[in-house]
Amino acid sequence: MARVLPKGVSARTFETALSRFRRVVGAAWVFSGEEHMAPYDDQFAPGNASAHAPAAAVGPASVEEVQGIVRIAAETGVPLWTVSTGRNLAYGGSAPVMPGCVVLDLRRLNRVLEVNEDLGYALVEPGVTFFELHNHLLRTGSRLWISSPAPGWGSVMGNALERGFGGMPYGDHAAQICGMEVVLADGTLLRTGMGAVPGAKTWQLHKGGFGPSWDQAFTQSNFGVVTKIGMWLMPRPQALASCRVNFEREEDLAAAVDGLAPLRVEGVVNGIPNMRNVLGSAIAQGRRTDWYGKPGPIPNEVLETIKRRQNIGWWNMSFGIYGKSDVVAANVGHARAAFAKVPGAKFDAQVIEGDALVRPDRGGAGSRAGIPGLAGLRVADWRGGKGGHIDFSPLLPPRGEDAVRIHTLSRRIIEEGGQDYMGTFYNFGRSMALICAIVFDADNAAETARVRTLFSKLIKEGGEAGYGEYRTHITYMDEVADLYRWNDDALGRFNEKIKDALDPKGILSPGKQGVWPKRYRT
Amino acid sequence: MKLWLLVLALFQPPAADGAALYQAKCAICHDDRGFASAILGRGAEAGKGVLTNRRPLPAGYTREIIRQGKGAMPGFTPTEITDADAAAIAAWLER
Ligand SMILES: Cc1cc2nc3c(=O)[nH]c(=O)nc-3n(C[C@H](O)[C@H](O)[C@H](O)COP(=O)(O)OP(=O)(O)OC[C@H]3O[C@@H](n4cnc5c(N)ncnc54)[C@H](O)[C@@H]3O)c2cc1C
Ligand code: HEC
Repeated sequence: MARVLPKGVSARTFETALSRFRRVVGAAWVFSGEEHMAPYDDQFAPGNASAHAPAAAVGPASVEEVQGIVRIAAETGVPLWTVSTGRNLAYGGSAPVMPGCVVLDLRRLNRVLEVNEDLGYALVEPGVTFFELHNHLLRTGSRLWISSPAPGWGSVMGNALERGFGGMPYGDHAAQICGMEVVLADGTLLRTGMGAVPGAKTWQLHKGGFGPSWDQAFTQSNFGVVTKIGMWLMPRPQALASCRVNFEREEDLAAAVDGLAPLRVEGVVNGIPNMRNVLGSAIAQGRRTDWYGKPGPIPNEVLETIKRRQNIGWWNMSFGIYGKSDVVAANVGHARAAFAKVPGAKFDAQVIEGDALVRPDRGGAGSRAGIPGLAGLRVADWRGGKGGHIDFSPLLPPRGEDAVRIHTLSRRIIEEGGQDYMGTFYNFGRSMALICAIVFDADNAAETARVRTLFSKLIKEGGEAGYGEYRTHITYMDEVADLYRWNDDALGRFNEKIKDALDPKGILSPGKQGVWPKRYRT
Repeated sequence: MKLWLLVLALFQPPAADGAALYQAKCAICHDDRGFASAILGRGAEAGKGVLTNRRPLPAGYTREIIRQGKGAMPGFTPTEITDADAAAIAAWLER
């Protein structure tokens, strides 16, 4: 991998910074050799990993060490790129937007600081993974459940800061954040919300605090380095109904979306439902060549074969209903009755109760019960070769007509670009996301180039239709930020003003979400 | 280096346990239910795809894959798996 130094930093200054970092964390935890840097590159990059290659990485083990590193960065002007565990796969992994940044890798801060069983929260450090928090809760006999994204090896904090999600009632992870500790760009340590009261009693219990509220300002953000985070956790319910609703035809999309919407707004369905298209379901089961050997998108006839052989629909909805047994039974009845009115819908529910919920099996219902896994990573094998994967993730209202518009647009652009369309809708209540997994063979230069072109097209045409992404890959942060330019870019200028005030040296994650510090703005 | 770090370095625990590390970091994808076994075992007899059954599996090759990744497997950073841990896993797999 070709590695360059960060823009505006001389080789001498860079070396000085690294040797000062070594004095803070110990020589063993500053990395710059090729062997150690390879995993910090974007593992699923669309053919341009060197455009985002970090020049070094540093792994502090305490908040004081983080403060030390940040102060040295401010003094030397060497920019950092903060990650918690850096498993932000499909969105850039550990790699920075700007090449040459030093990855500030917080994995070694990995303590579960507190779990409150009665009030249902945890206070964790950046390096705590979903696997680790889950195991901690099992070990201590807790009846609290975590909500995990599909891959369980990521960070509870990192995922929440990126506004990631899972499928459970607490699946909107940023919404569970309550209270943070943050290292600012000058090394100051800040506690947000109620944490600002010395000896605070409600830091993880009350989100607002007194005056402006800042937790969410540190999500998808380069305003600070978060070192502790409070996350609300769900008590294990008495019952869980694992529900599936299949729809035979592509044209059933609008009815499916409109059928679900009121169940979500009214709270009948309290898990976050997903709805996968044929390939979105098939992709986790095997390789493309199992079904189709030619280049170009998989044709409709083959999709029909896959449907038949896997006994799935064109759209496959799945969700959990959680709560007391009688309430769950009643709500399953309401959901069944609602979908009975939707033409083409096939509804099925399986209720799990009591002991079966204490240690559910991994996979299947397990993922509905917060059991973290890694099976989802299989998608990168779809086309063989070196796995490549980026996600197009627009938001839309939970309305049939919008779903049809964004689905049609995405399918057309992805297939015109020669790739397979794998779309999954998620319903958050008042909004939905369509996540299109774009999977490619990263060893194939022509294919990756096509993917880059089609991805820009998706952002642009989606934006023209009024849909903006909830999150994006490091290569596309400026392009997506460009959609958020209402009123002469008032929001972009507001972000820059805050960025310049908090980080005048421009050392924290430059370019994150399209927010650049003054020194790198052109 | 801080004094307590030096002290810690002098009283290093015995060499990392390759088997336990494999269980913690690799088995979920590479055991008989893991998807890596399905991929590595394509077209072979059952069980051949499970990493602990693959022969030969030179330690140098495993160490390289731990960092570089392969196919759908992303690599591991040295803060997640140290060089010593990687060597222990690789040696245990080669045995
Ligand atoms: C097959 C597949 C399936 C996936 N499924 C899901 C899914 O179901 N749900 C989902 O949400 N995601 C999903 N992802 C995306 C991604 O893998 C996860 O979101 C993952 O949890 C993010 O990586 P992480 O937890 O290691 O966070 P990190 O990479 O550590 O952090 C993510 C970003 O947050 C910021 N950040 C992190 N820590 C800090 C900090 N301490 N201070 C300031 N900023 C910080 C940084 O900008 C960083 O780049 C999927 C990816 C793949 C490949
Ligand atoms: C996310 C799932 C996942 C995890 C976790 C994982 N691997 Fe893998 N690994 C794979 C996949 C998939 C392949 C097959 C890659 C291919 O050939 O396409 C693979 C291949 C390998 C191979 C090559 C085997 C061969 O015969 O060529 C080695 C060696 C390996 N992994 C070692 C490890 C070790 C050691 C760990 C733990 C430190 C680990 N893997 C963790 C998914 C994983």
